[in-house]
Amino acid sequence: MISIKNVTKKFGDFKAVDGLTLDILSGEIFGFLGPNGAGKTTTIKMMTGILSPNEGDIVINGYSIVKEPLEAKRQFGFVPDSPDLFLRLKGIEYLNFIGDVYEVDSETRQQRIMELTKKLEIDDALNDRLITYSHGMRQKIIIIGALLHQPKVWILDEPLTGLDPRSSAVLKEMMNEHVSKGNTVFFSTHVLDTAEKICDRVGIINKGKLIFVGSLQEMREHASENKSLERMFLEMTDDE
Amino acid sequence: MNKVFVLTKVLFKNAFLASNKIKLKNVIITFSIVGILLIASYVVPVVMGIGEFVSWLAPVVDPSILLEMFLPSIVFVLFLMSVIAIISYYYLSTDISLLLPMPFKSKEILLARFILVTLSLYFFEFFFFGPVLIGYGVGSGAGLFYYVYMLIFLLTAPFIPISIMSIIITSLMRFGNLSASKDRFTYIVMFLSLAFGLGFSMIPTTIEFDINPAEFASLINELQKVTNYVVPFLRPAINALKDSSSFVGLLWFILYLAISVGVVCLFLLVSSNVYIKGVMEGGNGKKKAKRHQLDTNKSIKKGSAFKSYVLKEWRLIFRTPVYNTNLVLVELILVVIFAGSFIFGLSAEGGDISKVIAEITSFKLSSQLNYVFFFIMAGILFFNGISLVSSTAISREGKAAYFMKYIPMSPIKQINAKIFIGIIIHLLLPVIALFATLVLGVIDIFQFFYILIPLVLLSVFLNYWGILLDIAKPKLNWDNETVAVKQNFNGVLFMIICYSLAIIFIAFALTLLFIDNIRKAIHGFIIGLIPTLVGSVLLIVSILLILNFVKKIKSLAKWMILLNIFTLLIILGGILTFGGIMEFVHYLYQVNAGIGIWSIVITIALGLATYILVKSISLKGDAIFDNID
Repeated sequence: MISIKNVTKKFGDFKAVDGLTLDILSGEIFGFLGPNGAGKTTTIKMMTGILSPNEGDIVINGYSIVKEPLEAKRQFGFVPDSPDLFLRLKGIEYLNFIGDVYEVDSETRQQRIMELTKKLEIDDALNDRLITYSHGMRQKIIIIGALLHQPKVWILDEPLTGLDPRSSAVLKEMMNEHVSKGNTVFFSTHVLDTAEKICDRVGIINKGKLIFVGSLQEMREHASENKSLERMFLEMTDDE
Repeated sequence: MNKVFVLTKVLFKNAFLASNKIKLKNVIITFSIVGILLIASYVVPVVMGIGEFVSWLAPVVDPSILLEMFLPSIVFVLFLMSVIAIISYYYLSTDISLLLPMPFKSKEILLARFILVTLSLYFFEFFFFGPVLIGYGVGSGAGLFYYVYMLIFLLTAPFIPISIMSIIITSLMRFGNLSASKDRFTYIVMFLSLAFGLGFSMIPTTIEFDINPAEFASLINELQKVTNYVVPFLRPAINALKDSSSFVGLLWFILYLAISVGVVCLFLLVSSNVYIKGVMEGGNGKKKAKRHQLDTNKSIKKGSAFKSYVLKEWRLIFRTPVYNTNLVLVELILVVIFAGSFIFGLSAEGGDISKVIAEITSFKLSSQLNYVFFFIMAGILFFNGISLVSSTAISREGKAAYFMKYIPMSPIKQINAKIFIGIIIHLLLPVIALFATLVLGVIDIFQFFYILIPLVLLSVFLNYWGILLDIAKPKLNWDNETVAVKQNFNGVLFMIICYSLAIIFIAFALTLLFIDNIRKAIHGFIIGLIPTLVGSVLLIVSILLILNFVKKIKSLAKWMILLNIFTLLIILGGILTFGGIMEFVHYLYQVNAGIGIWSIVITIALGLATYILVKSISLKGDAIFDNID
């Protein structure tokens, strides 16, 4: 599980994230929504150790990303929003590198790589450099890399962008399967439809503040009538 | 034309001014320091050397024949350099996908790129060849017109090489199906550059002052014939510079300019028809790429994280032509020039290699020649200053640098993996050379280790130093790999530090070389007292300040720069203190410290400084990467 405790991030005088407190439980898919510039990516960057919070702490599976960064980082698999990493490495070289960094043993590594690359249909491209991959293929290899060490917590920043419908469906299925084993998936998305279909709970952030957390049912009750998710989202994040 | 100007301006800003978040004031100060250092260490000696050479040649041969050698060399180097720049700016810039859908004519994009490539070659051209041509002017007593022509020549010299290479490359990319193998093409150029390096290594042996001027003249005459065939367009420029004071010279110069402009027009005419299509072919080529089968049992294996990280760094450097040429090839060219000069030097002695080896082996380095040790260290510093592997290690990650922050690998471990390759590249040539001197019997096994150990430590220290500069202010926001290494302020800073340190080491060497004269002039007690006092104050104050500020300073950039400065002062303080103490010993007992003792002292000073650097980085923990996001 992930526990975000009263986290604030400032850039100069600007508060990108302001006193955010949020618990993402084991066994749930949590969708993180918000308009552009609301603080989604900043929050994800703090969760993964890319940015350090000015105040507060984030605990992942019992390890604080501030106090025990290395242990905390081993708990999650992270898919960043841009898949353009190490483009001159071959697919397999990238995965082996990630495997070594996360200390995945040869047997598990072989089995995971074979299984995941087959599922996402890029097993025939592993011996080619990432620079020859399409955007979607790069996204797939990054996803495989993130899941290689079988992390309990998945943190995914816009993971479905660029994926073809089949791979997108496979990933959603994998997310469901993962949480059914009592694990956690945290992902940000712009696609409200996706959030509506697969999330157990959603959080909406606007101007650095969390304005709603709950299930879609609760969100509908919160919005007092039976509206589409898009309508509710627009109302909640309306700047007036 | 207006569109070309706007486009060039944007591309220029993007390529050259993508900032390291460094203040203009600091840039001006640094460039002033670099300027002074370069003028002192390179420009003045070259101008004076060439000037002297010209006046030495004048009584026997018309020295203007030297222009026959200089101008083709300039153009030849520009030809080679333009290839990598053209491929990089025309085809590898990611902005092309933004420019293609915009309403620009092919000609406008090309011209803007052409100007950019020209600008990128200016620094090298002016720096290396400017002083040579000025030296010729000074030596031959040329008038004002010579300098005016020279300046215009240097400004326009890249036009023809870039135009011709652009025509060839754009045509090859369009018709030769080279778009998919741009990297391979760049490697061919790299090997050509290596061959050129080898050729260049022959030159120093032919222009030794003791050769017969008549022989030299006939050599130049041969060269003149070759020039007329290979680079005929240079003839008017050479003639114009020769006769700069006459009206005929002016006519020649106008002819040269007309040819240059003509070639540029020809390039625009030919290349504008093929460039865009070539770029678009490149895009298609990617999707059609053939997939290669993989033997999963062999390919998927566990290894150590450190080894894997080093391998990743090495693959990225080796497979990225811009990095490879700027980080590895530069060193290799030096190796080739070094080895080439040696071999050609031998053959110049009449081809009897065994005789020359006998001559070299008859020289034995005495352990009392302690100044040689400092000259060697200074040489290593000059050599290391060129290699920018570590001082651009973070910048090279570009927009993906955040990767370093979310993987479960401590910053110090990642830093160690990154500098590992820098250390290997730094040490490769010096260690080979050192080993050769051991085999040839110039040094004995003790001296081998006396030099090797401080040399390795110096390289380790410098690489930590370099990477700290890049961690403090990395240049991550780029679209073209060239920016990360060639237009990176941290690389320049690293070079300055290495060169400044080299100059200090030379000063030490000269002090030791002339110590007897100094001892005659100044009382021994004072020679001992001053360095001991200054050195120990530097040493103690630096250590105390580091212990004090490591925890207090909040700005990461300031923290790193202060850490760098103080560790450097520890080394200098250590050497000065010991030098002073040795002078007391000499004053009392008439004993000098030999190479062995100096080696131990420097090893201790470097070891201490490196230990403090590493310890401070480790203590800083994850915060060391705070400027990377």
